[in-house]
Amino acid sequence: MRATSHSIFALRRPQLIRIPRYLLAALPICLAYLPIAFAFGVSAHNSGFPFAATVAMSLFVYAGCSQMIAVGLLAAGQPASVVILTTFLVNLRLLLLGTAIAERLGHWPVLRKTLFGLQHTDETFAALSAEGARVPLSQNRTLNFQSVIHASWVIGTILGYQLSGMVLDVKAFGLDYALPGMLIGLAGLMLRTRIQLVVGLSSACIALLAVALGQATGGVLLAAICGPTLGYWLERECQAPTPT
Amino acid sequence: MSGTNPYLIVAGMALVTQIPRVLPLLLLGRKPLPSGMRRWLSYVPASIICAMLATQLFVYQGRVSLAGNEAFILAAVPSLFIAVTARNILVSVLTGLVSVALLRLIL
Repeated sequence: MRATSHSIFALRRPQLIRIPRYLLAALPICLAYLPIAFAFGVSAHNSGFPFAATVAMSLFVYAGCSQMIAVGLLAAGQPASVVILTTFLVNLRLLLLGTAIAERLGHWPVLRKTLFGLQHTDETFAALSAEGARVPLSQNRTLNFQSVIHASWVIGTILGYQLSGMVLDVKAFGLDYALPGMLIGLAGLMLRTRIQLVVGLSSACIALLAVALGQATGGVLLAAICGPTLGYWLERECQAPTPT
Repeated sequence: MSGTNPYLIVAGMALVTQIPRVLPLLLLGRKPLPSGMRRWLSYVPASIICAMLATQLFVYQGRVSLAGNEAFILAAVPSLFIAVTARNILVSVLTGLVSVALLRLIL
């Protein structure tokens, strides 16, 4: 079966030591999250945000980009209303991710669906989507997978906050490349058709255009609306019988 | 730092982040979505991955730029090659990490 053999939980070869598959699947994302969460912890410390509130943010907000923006806005003296409104706009795309994956957990109990949602991020979404859009998600494995990743986010935040005085050079090990590296890995898994490739490239251009126009926060959301619309249209055009 | 209680800010942020996260999961999924909607949504992952990747590779200090990102952009070549051939996320992450570390020694 094509779909399951490409599952991110699939084992490639027999192993001597049994490592749970969800750990192996989570590892690249943890590797990417640790340095980012670390950086967030450092900037939260430097802008005078209390430790407990910083950890609470990583636990309950758990959205890298908006956490970074929030601490920056607060340090710049912006009111809470601006911070919360910005967070809302930056995270609106999560509505899209949830809609796209909802069908795959249709049979889950409500409590587990909620738990899944609270730990759902762009990266876990992308990794789970690499399995194929129609494969139902196994409950325990998926929740463990997401919890391990969330834990790495919280641990990274704590380390960053507490060690912010020390100079730790993540660049020396190329660790700051973990996130781009993971996105490249996901792109290699997912961009399999010509239309997917066109959608990916145009979404990339839209996001960069938004940055160039000074609208970086809305760029990914804009791309995530325009890209699929283009893909939908191309798919329909390619399938349409040629007029005679 | 503004005067508002930081815990209230965290609570507000959590609310506006978690509602869009959880709501579609609870409301949708029992019935399959219309096929057009599903086809549209099937392009969302590719779109989001590429949009995020582009900003990682081509944005330096808040501006679109090749300069400053040389190591990041060059390292994308071997990691993308590994990603397409090995089809393994962890291996392509490790390829990227090693490539960037080596490129920084050279550049």
